[in-house]
Amino acid sequence: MYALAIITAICLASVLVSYVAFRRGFTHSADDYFVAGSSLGYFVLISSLLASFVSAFAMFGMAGLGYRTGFGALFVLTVNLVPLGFLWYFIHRKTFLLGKARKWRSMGAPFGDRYGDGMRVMIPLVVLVASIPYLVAQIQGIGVMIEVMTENMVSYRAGLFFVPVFIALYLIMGGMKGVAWVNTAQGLFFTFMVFVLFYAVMSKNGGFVPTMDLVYQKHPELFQLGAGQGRVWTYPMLFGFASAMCLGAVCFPQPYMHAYSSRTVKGFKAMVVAFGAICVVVISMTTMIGIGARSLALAQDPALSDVVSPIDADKVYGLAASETLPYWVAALAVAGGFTAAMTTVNGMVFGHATNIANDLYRLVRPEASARELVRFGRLCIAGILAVCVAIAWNPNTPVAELAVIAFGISAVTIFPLWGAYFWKRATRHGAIAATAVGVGMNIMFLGLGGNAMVLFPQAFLFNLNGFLASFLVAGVVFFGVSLATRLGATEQRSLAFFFHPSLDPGPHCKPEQSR
Amino acid sequence: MKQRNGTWQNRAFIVAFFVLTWLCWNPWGYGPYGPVGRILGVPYWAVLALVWAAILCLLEWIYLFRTPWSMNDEQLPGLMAQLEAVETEVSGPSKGNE
Repeated sequence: MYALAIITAICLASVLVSYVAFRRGFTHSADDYFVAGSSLGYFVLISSLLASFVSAFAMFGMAGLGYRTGFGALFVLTVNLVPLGFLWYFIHRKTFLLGKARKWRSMGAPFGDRYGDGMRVMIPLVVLVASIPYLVAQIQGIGVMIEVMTENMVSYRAGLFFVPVFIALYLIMGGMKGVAWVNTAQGLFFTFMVFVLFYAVMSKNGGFVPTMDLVYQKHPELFQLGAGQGRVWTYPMLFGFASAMCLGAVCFPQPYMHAYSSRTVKGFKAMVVAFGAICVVVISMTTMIGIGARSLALAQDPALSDVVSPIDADKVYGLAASETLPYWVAALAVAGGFTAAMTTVNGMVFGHATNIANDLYRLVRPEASARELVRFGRLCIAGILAVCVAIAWNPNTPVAELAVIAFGISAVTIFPLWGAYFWKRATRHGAIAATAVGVGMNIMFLGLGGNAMVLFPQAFLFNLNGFLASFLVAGVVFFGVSLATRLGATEQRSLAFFFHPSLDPGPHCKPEQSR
Repeated sequence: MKQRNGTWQNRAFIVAFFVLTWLCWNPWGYGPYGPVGRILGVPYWAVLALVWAAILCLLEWIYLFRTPWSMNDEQLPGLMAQLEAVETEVSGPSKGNE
């Protein structure tokens, strides 16, 4: 009953925050609704971007991965994301500047302006299709969490309706401003609860070092590279995970949405540099909560000792909370994971709705008014959530297996994006061919060998995983096809503003001003 | 101006970013597989990874907020004026998502 009250309170508070955004008139025009009128300050930007990326996987999944495989998990979502600070800055600096100048609101806008309508349609569709399983996995997680937290008082399927209805309500009402505010509030909540649980787990055995000493005595393999006779956390395996997650994050909808929504240059820079640092702190903690849980009584459970399945390991976060915290605080800690899933759904669903309305619908109806676009965007939010709930209806639908390809598939779009901003010879043929080949190879590897072939090093691919092989081939195709084809009229025309001298970091920089 | 853009300090930052990215993605040189020493309970190689990440984060912050090579808010109005002018000249009113 207590857990149900917490969940309902979180949902109602989120709707209230969004309602305030709606009442204060932040959703009147299309610019207001889709990109918050480019008015977000740096604190909201940082919190919202972080919350929209940190999913249930970062909480329950990373604790479980730490529990099963040890410190190598730090290369999955923590230290490997720090390079995003400069990668996002260099790549999305032009997204920020040209987005302001050309009133971009969607992910397809830079591709459309640079390569034409083919890429304007292709990019949002590719990212949408790739990330649907990822979204469904979050919604399945929400359903399962509600069922477990309420001790079956609310069934899995009732939970599927209960929370997405609230999510749809506050996304439809509040627009980007509402999304950012809700993400900020929910992000602060789950970050605080991670600190609480970390402290509780480490305090149980006298502090961080004594806890790790205990774990080391029982499971020294969790502290090794190449453990399990060279099977777990080998160098190629670490590199494959680390690069896939980081490069995929460059190309997700969230950095575009937040670049367009930033009010100031300072806010944009603070957002990109703070993201990796906060991930290192927060997600390292969830990983170490999992490692530290090996010292708790829960590790005596037959299902959680020695060889542990990923499904059982995902329960470690909640079990550690139950064992180390009073009931009501434990419920809040688990609710933190629940809000992490909600914020990811918020960011992804709103990003996709924005793309569909501004890239696809406007192509079909170029004369659509701002009011009509906003109305269509709201319909898209409801539609995307309805599709996700329908797919998640069967809790055993194996979408988690497919969710991993979201990052890999998104990452192959980095070449067209880079070419749009930095290579004058990039052509639409190169961009389309690279995206098609990269996406096709990822799907082929998934079909042939499942997750393992996409994520783990393969001897026949020179010890690369399927993702990296697809990524490299997409790059070769992009450069090869671009060099072999001529620039069309759209590419020629786009050079004037995509490569305008004022966008060069050199000529307009005045060192005395920047200090 | 070009000379300033191409200063060795700017290039040094870029090189440092890529070297540190490599170290954050791939612990080559962190030591052999198998048992390792620990610092404050954390394996040596994981501490090293966290240190590289901290250095990279610090360098990124310095580059973005304490050097002349990144854009800043004072330049924004001028940049917008130039970009909007070129659009009107070359391509007519911006297409984008307007």
